[in-house]
Amino acid sequence: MLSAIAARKAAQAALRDATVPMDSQPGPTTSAPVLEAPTPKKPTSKRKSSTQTSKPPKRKKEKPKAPPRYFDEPDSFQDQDDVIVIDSDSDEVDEQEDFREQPPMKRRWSPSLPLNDSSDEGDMDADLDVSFSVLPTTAVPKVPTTTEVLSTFHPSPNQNTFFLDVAEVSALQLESNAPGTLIALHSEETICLLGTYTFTVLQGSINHSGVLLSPSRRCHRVFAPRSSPLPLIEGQDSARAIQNIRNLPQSIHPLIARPITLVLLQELHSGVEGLGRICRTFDGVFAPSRWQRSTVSDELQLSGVHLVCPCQESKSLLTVPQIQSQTRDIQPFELSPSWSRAIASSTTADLTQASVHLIKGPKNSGKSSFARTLVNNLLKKYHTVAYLDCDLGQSEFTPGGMVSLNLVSRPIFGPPFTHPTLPHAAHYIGAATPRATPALYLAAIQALLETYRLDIQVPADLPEEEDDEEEERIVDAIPLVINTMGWTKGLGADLTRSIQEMAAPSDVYELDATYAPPPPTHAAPGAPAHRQHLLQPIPPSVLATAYTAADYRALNMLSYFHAVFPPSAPSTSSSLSLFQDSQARTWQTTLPLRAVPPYAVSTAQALDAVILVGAGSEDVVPEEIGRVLNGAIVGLVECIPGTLDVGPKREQGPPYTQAAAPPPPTSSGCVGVALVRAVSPQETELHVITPLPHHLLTRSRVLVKGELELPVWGMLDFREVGEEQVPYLQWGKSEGLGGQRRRVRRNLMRKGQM
Amino acid sequence: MKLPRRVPWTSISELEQVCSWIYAEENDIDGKILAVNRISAWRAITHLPHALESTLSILVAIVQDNLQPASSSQLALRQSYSTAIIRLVNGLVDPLQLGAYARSISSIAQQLGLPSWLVELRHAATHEDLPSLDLLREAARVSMVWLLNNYFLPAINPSTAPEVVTPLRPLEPTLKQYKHLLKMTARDASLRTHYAPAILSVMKDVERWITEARVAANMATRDLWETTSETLLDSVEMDAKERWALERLCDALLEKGGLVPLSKKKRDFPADSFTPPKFSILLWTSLLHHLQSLHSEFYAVLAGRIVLTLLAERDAKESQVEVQLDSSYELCLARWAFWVVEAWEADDSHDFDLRKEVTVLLMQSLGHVMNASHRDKKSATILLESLCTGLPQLDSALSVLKVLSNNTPPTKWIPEDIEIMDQRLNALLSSDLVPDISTPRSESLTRRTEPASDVTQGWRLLDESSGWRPCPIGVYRSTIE
Repeated sequence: MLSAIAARKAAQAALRDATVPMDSQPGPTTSAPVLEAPTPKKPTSKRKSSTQTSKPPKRKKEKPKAPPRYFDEPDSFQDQDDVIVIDSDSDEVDEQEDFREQPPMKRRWSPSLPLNDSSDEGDMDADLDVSFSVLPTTAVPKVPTTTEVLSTFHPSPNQNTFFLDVAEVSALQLESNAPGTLIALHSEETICLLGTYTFTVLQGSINHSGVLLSPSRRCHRVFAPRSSPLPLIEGQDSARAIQNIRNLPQSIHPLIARPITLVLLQELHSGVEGLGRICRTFDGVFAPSRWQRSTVSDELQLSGVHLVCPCQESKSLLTVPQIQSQTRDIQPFELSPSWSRAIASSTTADLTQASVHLIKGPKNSGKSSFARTLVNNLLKKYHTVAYLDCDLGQSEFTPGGMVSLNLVSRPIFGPPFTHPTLPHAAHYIGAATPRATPALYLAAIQALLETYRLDIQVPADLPEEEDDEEEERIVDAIPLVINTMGWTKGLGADLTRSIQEMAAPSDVYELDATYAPPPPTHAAPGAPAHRQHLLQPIPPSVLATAYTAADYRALNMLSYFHAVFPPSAPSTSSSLSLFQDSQARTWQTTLPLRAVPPYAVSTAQALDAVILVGAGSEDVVPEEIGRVLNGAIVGLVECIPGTLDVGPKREQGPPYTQAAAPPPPTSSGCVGVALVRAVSPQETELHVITPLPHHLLTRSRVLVKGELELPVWGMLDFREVGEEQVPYLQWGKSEGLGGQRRRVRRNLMRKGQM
Repeated sequence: MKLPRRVPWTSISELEQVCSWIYAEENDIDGKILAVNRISAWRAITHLPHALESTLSILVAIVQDNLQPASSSQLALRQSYSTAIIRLVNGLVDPLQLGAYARSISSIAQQLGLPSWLVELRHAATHEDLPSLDLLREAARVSMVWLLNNYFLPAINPSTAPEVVTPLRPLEPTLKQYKHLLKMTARDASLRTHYAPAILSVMKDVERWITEARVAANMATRDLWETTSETLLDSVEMDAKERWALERLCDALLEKGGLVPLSKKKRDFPADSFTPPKFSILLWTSLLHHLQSLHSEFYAVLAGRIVLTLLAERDAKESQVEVQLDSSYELCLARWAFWVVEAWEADDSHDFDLRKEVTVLLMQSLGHVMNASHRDKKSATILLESLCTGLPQLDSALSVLKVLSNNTPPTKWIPEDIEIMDQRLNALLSSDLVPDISTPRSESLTRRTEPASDVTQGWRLLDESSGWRPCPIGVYRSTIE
């Protein structure tokens, strides 16, 4: 057991030359294939500082060469096989390889490992989430061994980049007729784009963030902000093309029928950049940061799209330190080989049966990314894929606080906040973690699994035929992908085990190679065997320190409230058709929430019950319910009439009974989330803001309030600068001792722990 | 951007009202019940500050005590009181465990002003027998009074908050002991192992002092932990308090008798390089290295303090003799600063260029000073020169500065100045400094693409015609039907 002092010295020594990780402490994440570089390893300094003699400090008069970085290894690094040096531009490799080694540590290094209490996962304030290990080599990301070059594609007009106008694009009869840029990718050439765009594959095939796409007339929307790993478009060998490829202008014809991939990029205007102005943490996240401004080019002539590559003239700027930091906050999406193996094996398996895929792993290990990649790959074989989201904090399609079942029929490219979708079925739990209500959580998941098995697994109605050149996809079976929470210890492990038992998956993906599975005593004899895939988690990246889980939750919530959902025509049948489009395409970001006209809801007419969920909620007396509802985030729930026990009706005000049970998931469902922005003084009327289309509002007559709160960003007016006095917000520091929320340190050591 | 905090009340007057319900009369149970209901409702709105949560638990116990019939079990009541007090003490002490090692609860409680018998009660309730009902009632009463004085009153009237700063214990005895030990080991190397544990304990004492200073800094700013989600803010705040604590430490080190030897005889400087006396280096190196290893900013703070001391304006009343003495003291300090900068650069892993920053600081202060006190800052000038030698960038900057300080600034404007300024303005405007902010598309994305009358019973969409105007979340603006 290293003493803390020696550990600190070792850590500092290790920080100085972050080379091969120390094996003495197996960290929770291992990285991708480790370097075999024979780099000189500084011996762990075991000497304690107390025995440090009083010899004068070494005067290492190192002239500051430009720049003397500790990771500037000799060329043995570049001689490795994993480093792909394309053409002769080894300079690009050099300059981009490794600012990921030193993530911008916004927080000072704290000397001890926080003891991971299992309820860490449910912590709403995520500042303690980032675990700095005692030997921070595991926190320092390794140099990635896959390609570090972000783009090898150099646009040169009329050779591999063509600008098409509206007439030329409409001749191709694609889904969208906006003008665009056509790029021609050779095999293995990659291009990395930052921003929002749509792309259509006209000829050949491409590998976009882990999924192979073949030519079709379908336009795929891509959101690529800096806050997530950037997808790479890589050209692949293939000889297919869309029908109307000959309608391209004459100048492009030499490229047709060659092994060159043609991709049409078009602009995408959705208003999602406005979310950055509302939630300042993500300001300008769709545009290059100021470090990259000198290196990104606008050669594609598409607004909102930035090509991330080293331009020709940047070679002369190699000695300037700023260029070396151009990848300081960009992380490309890399598909690790274990992921592609697992995906390939599961999608080529027996397809006639609808399969159930369960993904589990600790937080920040890449579960959501893997789930998205898996869904995209399954969509090549199936027409629709069902997605059961059990993660309450970082949901994929919903704002959080609910477990939901979504139906996906188009590939998803982008982080969760860019595709808010109305769920097919959902249940409101009301918190970012099931810590307070585990029974309700499990009951809700059970109900959703029932819904899947009865209604969806073999769908009753089939989708409309879509006319595209794709291969035939299976329409009479819908597989299920289940994403679980990142809470892997304690209560969370129990819950995940229960979920696995309820779901009986055919494939289980575990994202942690070192995670020891629980002893198999729980496996009942005769349980259906499932395929187990062990996957490599993604290595820690600079993004994990820059954007925390709490930031993402806030952004998801705000994105939901500003989203514009397509108003669907009220269907003739009472239940929603399975295949209607319910994803938001645009965002309303010109007005802050406080300026959006609300609905006025009369409590007597429109509400059957108001229920509070969560720890301590049973103490709220009916006289205070108006105060509690003011400014609250509530879930809009519809219940089958007669199944909810409503207490004695109050003469006025919201129908609230103290300590009422939450609506049972078997007979209720959540349609969405709303914000009660005001309560009238007599509590007869509520002003409610919600982005849901009208037909869903008619059905929801129960409000459920949990522990979720509107992020502070949503309560402010981003158009004005200044600190105005707003109710429920207090500027400045708090006065008085004990004036802050209680925070607990979990990494405190005692004197005896030397 | 600094974010506001979410609080459960609309205005501070609500907190005042709750305070009056609780504290107006000792035996008013109805007021306390009202307060319990109100604080429970607040609990459902958002997370309460710790003091309010403890108030709620103690109030619930008190109300239960006064309302219940005398025949039922008292154990539940005692447990209720005990839990409330345990959580009160824990919640106040835990955020102040700022060092690497845990400090005793009683030491932190003493800095906070909690009565020590309350801490003993907490220990007894946790580990030993549950205390008696009388003692618990008294403890509850004392806790409520403490909360009133230390949370409610400062929160309601921030300006009248009393200064609760316990003075820090002096560091000099510890430093003296350190010097003593190191002198003995320097003279006789064989004693090194013998005194090693003593030296280690002295260093840990220094560390403990720093932690106490940080707690005091926390209390002085009354800012135990920020609850904003901005992680950058957290780290900056932590650094500010730690920096304050380190600055106090550096002040203690820079006293005469610390880094600078007390007697002038010992201040003999080696002639070849700009370093402090050899003996001083021998003495202080291990402590400085130890501190630097624990606090990565320590050298930067130390260099900053030294520079500030050197640049401080001299008081006109000081006599000439003192000025003479001070010059060797200042020279020694300057040499220490140089040593610190060299040590910082020897440790290669910092991004922060300490040499440049110190040089900039010195240049800024020295360059513009034209008055007579300039010559007093000889040491600072010497330090500046020695820092700049060897580095072409800084050398050239220094030479420019020297030239500037010799010139008299032009006292009147000549017409050509306008042209020069115009040129500069044009150059600034034409350079593309500000990237064009992509304004949102002006196509107004209407939120409601459906007619408003489509909504069903009870739901009515408001708009301008019904008289609704934008107002903050939580404020109700009545409309015409």
